[in-house]
Amino acid sequence: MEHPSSSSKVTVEYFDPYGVYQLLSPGLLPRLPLRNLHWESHSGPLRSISSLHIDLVPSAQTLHLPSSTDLASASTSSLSRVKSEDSAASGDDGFRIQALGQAVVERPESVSGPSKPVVKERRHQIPGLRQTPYLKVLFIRCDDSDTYKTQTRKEVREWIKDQTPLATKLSAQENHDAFEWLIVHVIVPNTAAATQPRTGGKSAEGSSGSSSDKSGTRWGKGSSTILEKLRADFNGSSRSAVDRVAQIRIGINDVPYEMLPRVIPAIPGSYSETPQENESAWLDLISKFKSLILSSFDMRVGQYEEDIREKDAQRTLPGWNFCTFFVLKEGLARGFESVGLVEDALVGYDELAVGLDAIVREQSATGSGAEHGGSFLPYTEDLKRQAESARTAIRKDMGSDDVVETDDPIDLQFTSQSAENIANEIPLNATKKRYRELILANDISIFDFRCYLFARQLSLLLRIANAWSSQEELLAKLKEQRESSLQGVAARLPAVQPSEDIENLAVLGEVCRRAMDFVASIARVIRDDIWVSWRQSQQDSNSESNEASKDPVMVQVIDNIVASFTFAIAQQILAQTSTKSLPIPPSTLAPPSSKIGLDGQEPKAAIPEPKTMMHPARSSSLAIRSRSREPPSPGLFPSGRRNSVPEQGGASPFLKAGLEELAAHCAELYLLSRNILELAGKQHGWSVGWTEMAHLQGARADTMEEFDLDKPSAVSSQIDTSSKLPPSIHGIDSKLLRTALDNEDDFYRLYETLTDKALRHYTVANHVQSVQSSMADLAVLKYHLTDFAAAASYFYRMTPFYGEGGWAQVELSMLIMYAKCLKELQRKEEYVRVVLKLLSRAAMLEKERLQRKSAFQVGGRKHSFDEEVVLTCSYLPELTKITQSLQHEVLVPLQNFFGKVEIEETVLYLPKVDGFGLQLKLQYLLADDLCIDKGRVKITPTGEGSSRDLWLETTGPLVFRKGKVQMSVQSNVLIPGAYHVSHIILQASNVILQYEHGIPLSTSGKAHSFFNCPKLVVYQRSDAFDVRLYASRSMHLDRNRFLEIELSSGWNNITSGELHIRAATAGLRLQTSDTKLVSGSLEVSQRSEAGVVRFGIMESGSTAKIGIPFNLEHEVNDISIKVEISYTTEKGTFFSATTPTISIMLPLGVNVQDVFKSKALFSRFTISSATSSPLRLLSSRLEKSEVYDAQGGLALSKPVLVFPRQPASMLYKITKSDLNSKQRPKQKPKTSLSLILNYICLVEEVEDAVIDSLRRLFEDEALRPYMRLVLPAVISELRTRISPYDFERAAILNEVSTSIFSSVRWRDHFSGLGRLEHQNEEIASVLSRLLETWQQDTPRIPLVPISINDETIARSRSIIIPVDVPSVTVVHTADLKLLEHSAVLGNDVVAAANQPITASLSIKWTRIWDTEQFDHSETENNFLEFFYDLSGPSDTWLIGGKRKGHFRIPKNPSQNGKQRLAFPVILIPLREGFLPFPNLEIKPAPFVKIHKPGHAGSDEDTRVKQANITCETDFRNAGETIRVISNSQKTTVSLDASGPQGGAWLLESEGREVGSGGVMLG
Amino acid sequence: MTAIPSIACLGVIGKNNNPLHITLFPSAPLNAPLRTPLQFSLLLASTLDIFESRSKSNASSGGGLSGDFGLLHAIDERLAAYGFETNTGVKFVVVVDMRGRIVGEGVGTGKVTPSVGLREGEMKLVFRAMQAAYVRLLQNPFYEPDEHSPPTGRGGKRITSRRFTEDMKRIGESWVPGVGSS
Repeated sequence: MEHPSSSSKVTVEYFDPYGVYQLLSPGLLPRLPLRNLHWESHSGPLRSISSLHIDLVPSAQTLHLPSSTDLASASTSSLSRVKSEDSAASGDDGFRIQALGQAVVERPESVSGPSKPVVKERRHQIPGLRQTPYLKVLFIRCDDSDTYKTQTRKEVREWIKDQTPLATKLSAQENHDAFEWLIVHVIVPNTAAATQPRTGGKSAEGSSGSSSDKSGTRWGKGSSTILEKLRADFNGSSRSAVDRVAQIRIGINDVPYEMLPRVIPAIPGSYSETPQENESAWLDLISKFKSLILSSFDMRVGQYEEDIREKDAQRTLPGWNFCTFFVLKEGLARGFESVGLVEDALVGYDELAVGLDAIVREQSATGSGAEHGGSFLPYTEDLKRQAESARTAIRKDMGSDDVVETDDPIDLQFTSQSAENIANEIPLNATKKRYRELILANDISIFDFRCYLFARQLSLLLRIANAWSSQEELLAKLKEQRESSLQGVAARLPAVQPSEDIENLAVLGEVCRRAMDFVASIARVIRDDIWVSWRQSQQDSNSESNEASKDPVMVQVIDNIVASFTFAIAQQILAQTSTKSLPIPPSTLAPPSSKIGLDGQEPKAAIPEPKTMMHPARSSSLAIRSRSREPPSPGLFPSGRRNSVPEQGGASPFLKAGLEELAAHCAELYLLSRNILELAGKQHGWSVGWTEMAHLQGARADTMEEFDLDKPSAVSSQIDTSSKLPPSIHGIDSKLLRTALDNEDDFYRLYETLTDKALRHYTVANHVQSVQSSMADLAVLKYHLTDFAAAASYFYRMTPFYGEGGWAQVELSMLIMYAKCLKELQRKEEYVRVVLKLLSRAAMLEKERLQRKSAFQVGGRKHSFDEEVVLTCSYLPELTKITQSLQHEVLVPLQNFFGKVEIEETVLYLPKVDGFGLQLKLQYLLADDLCIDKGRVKITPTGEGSSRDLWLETTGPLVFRKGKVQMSVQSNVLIPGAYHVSHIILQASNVILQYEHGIPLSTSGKAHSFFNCPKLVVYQRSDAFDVRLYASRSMHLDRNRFLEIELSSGWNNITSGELHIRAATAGLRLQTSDTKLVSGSLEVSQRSEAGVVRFGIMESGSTAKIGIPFNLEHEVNDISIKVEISYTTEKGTFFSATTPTISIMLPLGVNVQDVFKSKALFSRFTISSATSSPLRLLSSRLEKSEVYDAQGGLALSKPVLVFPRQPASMLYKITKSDLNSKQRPKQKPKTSLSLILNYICLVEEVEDAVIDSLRRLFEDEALRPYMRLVLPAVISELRTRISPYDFERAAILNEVSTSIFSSVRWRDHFSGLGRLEHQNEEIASVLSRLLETWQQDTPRIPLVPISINDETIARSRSIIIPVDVPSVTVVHTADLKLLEHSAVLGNDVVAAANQPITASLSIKWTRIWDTEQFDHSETENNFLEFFYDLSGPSDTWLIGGKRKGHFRIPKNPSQNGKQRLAFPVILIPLREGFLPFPNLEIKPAPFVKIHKPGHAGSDEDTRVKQANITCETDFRNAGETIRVISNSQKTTVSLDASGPQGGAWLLESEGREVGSGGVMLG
Repeated sequence: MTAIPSIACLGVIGKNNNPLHITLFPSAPLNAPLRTPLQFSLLLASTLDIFESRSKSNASSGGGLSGDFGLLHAIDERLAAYGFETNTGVKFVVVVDMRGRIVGEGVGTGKVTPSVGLREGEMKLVFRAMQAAYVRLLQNPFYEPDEHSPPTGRGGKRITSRRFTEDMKRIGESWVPGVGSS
């Protein structure tokens, strides 16, 4: 059973003296193979063999037997013709070359030729499990009992005797060939035997044919049938004896007519077998086959295992031979295989492989001397021959005539033959050589040994996997069997279709995996092998062994041979493991030109490339095979090997167990073969692109040199010679490889196909990374072959993958090539995109490199094999050129090209220019120079308030070179404040690099490392153009208020300018159209639109003030406006903006109190401070008006201090001017007076003092520019820190103490200013130090003494308050006159208490203050009615007389006369002391009683309501007192407590005498 | 003069399948790396697939606790990749060149026969050394593992530690087959 096939077959030898096999086989063969055998091993579990094929072999006797019947001869001989080889082989030791097994590719029959001269059977002492039959079957035909008795029994007995000597001699040796025997009685119809029932007459009717073993001896007592007789004779007597007899009846229809016996027996049709019986008879036969085969198998296995154990135990003994052990163990394995226990067989072989490894390793470890375990040939003869022939061929090619002929004559015949030998396509074949014999003879090299072992493992694995290849062989065998049988019968059977889904993909994967390992190891073995042989042959010729190993030709030969062999192995394995279950996606080698054709830019696309046209033809590996192969010989098999044409496998992509592994391993094999091809190609100088890629990598000259120094130059010179050697394909036997290496095109084509196959397999295997890497191979190849379109499409797919995965180096290399492709293809858009990406990656790597470099600074040597990719050619110029042609701009993040952006914290100012600038330090990472047309930087204010971003720009184009670069940007727009840089834009033609920086939340994080932006404080220098806003110093309460804008031109001549003013306070309305110039000389444009004020030329150093009136919807204390100013100087147009806030609150408050007299009005003005700050009142004046005159006291000689709680008051007398009556024109004269106050707020004074002091301080030139920054800061600190107390002190002491600044942290105000240029000191600290020293040096700042003169008044604040004289209808002047001026002491009137005083109340009135001309009441009445009421406190005065009364005065003011009304009253003072006079109140009566002197004397009184009569009373006596004294002279008081009430009691009082002139009071 | 195996490339691959470190070593005849760095990079990348499929099968079978994946991939007759995965997902790949080093006749030839190839556990020593170097790297307080294998699962920086690089170099150069394997 030495078939290397995957079918399990057992040989069953039959002896057919009667030629009944012909009759039997139609029935027998369909029942084969045997199914469901169960073998119970004595060790291990029950194994079941699902099917076991039987090789029915006629025994030698049968063949040599002269055909006993003519009938049989024809067919038998035809059968034997087919089987001739087999039988010939099986006749001897069992080694047999079988054509069927290795039929991976069709194999001409001639192959078996060389091995045909089979060696003579050699009875080795330890044979393998031999191919002797497990079962010997005797077919007998015995037509009737008589024949049996006379002839058949004897024959059978003889046959048994022939066999049994072997069987009975139970030596260990023979147990290896243990077999069983079986007698089959074939009953031919129309014979007497056919009429016999199976088990004798009795049971003839009831015999259940199915169980023939039940019949026979047990039942048959009577005349026994032939079957029973046979059983009785040959089955042995013991109970346990196995039934070795079976009987089969042949149906009459199954017998060919010529074989049908003509003799009709006497009782025809007495017995006819039912189909069931027939069936059971067959079953019986089959089961006997099974059990007998198993029993003989069991016997053999037992024997082998015993032997192996024995041999294994001897392992350590000297002289133990591995080969012997191998043969023995292999015998067992083969035995297992033959019955279908493939796994067991495989285990056996695996163990052997391990054993071989161990032996080899042991031998190599111990040295070549004592070879334990048997010796192997040092080299393989075949390989040697092959190598030498190749070497000779090469030398011949080289034309070197001095070919040293080797000792071994080169068998040219052999080499040519072997070169053409198809078998080389199947390098692994257990039957290629007579391996077993060689092993037995200890005449095998390691190479051969390993090949054999692997071939065996391979075939077993394939069988386990139920691979297509093994199935095919199986089918072939089945078919062969069927052919050998009668044709009609086979036709009836359905063709057995190998079902695909039973292929075990995992095992196929395992096959591939093992093959990979094998290839790696066998390659080494081959090299050793050939070298050893070469060395030996060289040693024979000349003893320089070292020279031999250096021979370049030999190196090449070996390389070629190894490549060829390994390549062939890979191809073989791939072919053998190909399966339909592997859904390989269609080729991705899509013609890429179609893609490009769309945009029409590619002229190449129109030309069909021959390569792309060939793609479909190359989509299967078979296509190449068939092309590179000889025309297939008329095959033994109608169908060639199935190949993995993807179109066929386009079934649903179902997933199976092991599918992925299989695909992965297949892909690895493809890659392996591709690598071999690549290496071979390299010798021919055909690169697949990778070496060209090397220059893209960091293989720098300096690093390479290091190694050149290390090594002696011998190596390199050696390399030179070998590289000079012309490439050859001698020694490459693999057809495919040979063809591929024939010319460059084929090489590339095969390379591509193999890679593509690997790729597709990886795709199935879901090996993402490997897919990509295969794609990379393809892409590089395409790139190398300048098929840029295809390469680009690969790169397009690949680059993101590696980029995202962090394989930056890989991505970079890909991008370089991708960019090149796109450039070639003129795909500009993509090119730009890719190049930008590429550059950014390069920059990134450069950045990393810089980081690493900085980390490595201490270290000495650079890392030797830097895998870094270095951009060798420059892309930027090309990029800019291309982007210029693009329509749109290309945005690139700035980080892509730059490693670091730092912004100088010092804001730059140019002298005499009002703008400012920034300095940026950038780390440019690219090697190419970058031309920047324009750089722009946006700064965003950090604080709240103005949210205006400023843009700064470079002045001209810049060129960046790799490394640190600087860029300075300027802006003419200056808005003071704190900023940070939020945006950087660099514009290089159409490429825009930009970086946007968000709000700097914290200084940590990644942004920080890239972008470093300090706080930037932008300020205006003190000499720059300045705009300041003031509230107007002079204020007229009646009119619109003004804002004053002070423009100071600074150091530049302003040619023109424009102010944009907008209110920033709600309700504020600015009337810019009424702008007027307040001071200075400036041409203010009149025709201005709202909010815009234009002005003209300003000389440098001049100031001008313009006033803008404004009004407010509702009163607020502070207003703010937005002022944007743009102005033009000879240095350009500048822009600035501020949002100042000013206080428009009045610092003072004025109250007025009026006292009306009949002739004059006295007004007292109380001037108080509205804030906590004191005021200095410089002057006060009441301006007279047309109607009134005003008179004041003396002017102020020195300023009056007005404290918040100490107001000043001024009294003015207002009289009506004389011309009043004369000038009574129609128009109303201006009546109101105006109070004009000039004052100074102490706050301002203090601030001015501080500012002056600081100004003097900053005269120091270096820090002068910062004055405008410092002063507001100081003032704001001052405002927040100064207290009312401080103000009062300052007002009194006329000096300001600077101690309030002592605790200010000045630094905080000035952070962000950067550093001074020279000292490299932070400006903030310089400033703060300066201020601190200032504060310490000047503890007090004296206020400017203020004297009142015109100048100070002009500079002071002024307010004009309109003062209206209130209109009073009537002013009464009342006088209470005491009529009896009895006693007057001095001025005082003296009166006695309790004495009545007669008095007269006289009331005068005047209408002069009635400015409102109350004259509408002519109609009704012409009187105004008032009433008076004289009242006093009730405990003081007792008032009698006309205490209350009404009076009326004429309405017409012209009746202003001397009317005087007098009313008598009596006053009685009730107590002593200075008593104020009683109060007088005069009020207009609410109603006027109108007496109408009507008709008939009937007076009618109507009450008319009086409207809006105001009156003031000038009561003369108000404020006067009367001295009241007591008039009693004596008073008696009783203090007696008795009495009805108790207490004091006035008893008596005595008045004074009426003295002279005294008041006699009653 | 016999060629013995040497290390052609050492690779450390991070948890996110990103390369952390790659060192190439020269191979014998030309004294230069056998392939271009890019090819080695791709080679390392494709071993990731094998790591993945192996660990998948390991997870189902419960094997592979040691992290040693053994032979990953025989690339061709010369190169073979061996793999090791730490339990934090960092992978070490050793690419061995079977004929990477040429030694004199007398030196060490008795030890190794190329035909036998490398033994199963031959690489253990290398992996152990690599792991030790990596652990040392992790102990460095300035080394931020998250930077190199960010938790986002994508990308990561390479190792820039000089010491680690030196370690790798030393490991690769000093390795000789047959040492340390019992």
